[in-house]
Amino acid sequence: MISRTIGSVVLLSLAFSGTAMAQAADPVVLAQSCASCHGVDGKGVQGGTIPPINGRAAAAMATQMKGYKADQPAVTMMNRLAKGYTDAEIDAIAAYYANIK
Amino acid sequence: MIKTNSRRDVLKLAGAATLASLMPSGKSFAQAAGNVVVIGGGFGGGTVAKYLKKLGANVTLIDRDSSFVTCPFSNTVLGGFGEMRQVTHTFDGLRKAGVNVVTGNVTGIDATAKRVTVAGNTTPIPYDRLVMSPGIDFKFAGQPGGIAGYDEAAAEKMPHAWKAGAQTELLRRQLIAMDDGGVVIMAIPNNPYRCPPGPYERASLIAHYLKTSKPKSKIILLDGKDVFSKQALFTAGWAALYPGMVEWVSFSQGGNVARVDPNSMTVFTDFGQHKGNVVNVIPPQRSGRVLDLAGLGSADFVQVNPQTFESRAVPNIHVIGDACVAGAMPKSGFSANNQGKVTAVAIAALLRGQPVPQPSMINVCYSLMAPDYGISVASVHKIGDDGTIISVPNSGGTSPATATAEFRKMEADYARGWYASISNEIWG
Repeated sequence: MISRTIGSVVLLSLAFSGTAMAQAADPVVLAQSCASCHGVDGKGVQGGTIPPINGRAAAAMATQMKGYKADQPAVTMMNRLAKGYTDAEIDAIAAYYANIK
Repeated sequence: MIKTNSRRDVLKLAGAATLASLMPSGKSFAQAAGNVVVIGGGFGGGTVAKYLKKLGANVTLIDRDSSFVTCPFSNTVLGGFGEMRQVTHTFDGLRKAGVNVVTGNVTGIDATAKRVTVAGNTTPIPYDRLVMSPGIDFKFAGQPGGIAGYDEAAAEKMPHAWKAGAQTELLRRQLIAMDDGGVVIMAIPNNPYRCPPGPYERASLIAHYLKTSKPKSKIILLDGKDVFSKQALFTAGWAALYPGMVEWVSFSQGGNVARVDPNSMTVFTDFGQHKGNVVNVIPPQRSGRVLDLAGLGSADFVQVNPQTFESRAVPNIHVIGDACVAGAMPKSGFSANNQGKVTAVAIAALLRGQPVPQPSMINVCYSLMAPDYGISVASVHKIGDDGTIISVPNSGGTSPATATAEFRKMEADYARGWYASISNEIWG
């Protein structure tokens, strides 16, 4: 689990030195944006109204996020945010939070 | 409270692995970490301090006050359904996370020797990297861009309440003291300023208070611009919730406030004058004046490298939040929070001699128009081909123009949920 994440981070770091601007964002950097609403490590807050997102199967979370991109289902906020990410970025975010129990 | 988490471990391990591959000398992680000083304990400063501490840096946070009052949700106090204690946060959570918190005014920044002087402390605090997140200061009368007659003394009669705290309480007291049938005037500046939708949320929640307690009263918005954030949603919401109560005067209609007279409670626009029983003047703004000490205050807001938020002019000083120029990102608490995270990762990488990751950021601004009526605007940000922070095309946007009452209530609940999460993330 963790080694896979490390692998991608190291890979990104090394690839970065080659072609800087074409580089995709780091999974940690992508994922940390979510915490402002979904709580530290995606764990939500006690009594909060926004659901936690940690510890779910990565595939299920990625499928849900990609559905939001297509307005399926239409919800209040996540359609607008999901449209800002590529499928690969969504996969990286989902894998990141799946690894936090 | 904040548990040791897998992210930190992952980063540490990943950092060590990458470091090993790039630096055969095997310089250790601990040696790569350094001293970071953060000025300002708000959304930007509090976030960068907490995240950098998690990433292994030695972090000192300096704030002039012993607690921070958030502008987000301070309008609920004016609306009569929120309390000051709900928007006031001490720095105890940051201390518990291992951040060294210093209370006092910064009196000197030596960007060459890389150290910060705090009033009352004889020994300057050294840094490898300095993060400045001072928020805004106002352009008062006599300063370029200031409104004639509006100085600090005038703010005691015509509160700005655009830095939350005593000013919020003053404006609340004035609203309570006003007779039914009174006129509330808000002067709203042209862009750029802190929290683009904030004045219109405030107008909505003051209207909520007036509708509940003083229904014959009116609120007049004198605006220095012709278009504003979430305009269609606010306009429709005012018509639905507060018919006839909120009057918006655009720049073109003569809304620009040029002068005020606090003694007669009069506001003078380019076209005429208005007298109010309560006058809330949101003055034109610039970055926090503490930036002047680092030689970064010559323009209103500070130009930064969008990948690291390091100043373009002074090396090793990063500027985040309302004080910086962040391209398409609005000046909001959420933006400052996300910039704080990106800057923490960037500084950790710089201290370790590693490449800095590409940033990815979002902004979400909820506005309450009534306790159970919320609207929002959202955006996803990255660095564009031109090297500035852009909004990712075909993403983000506002809440729908037409929606059910349930939808608006859900957004109000999510606004409260957002506030609970982000406050806990930063100060909890």
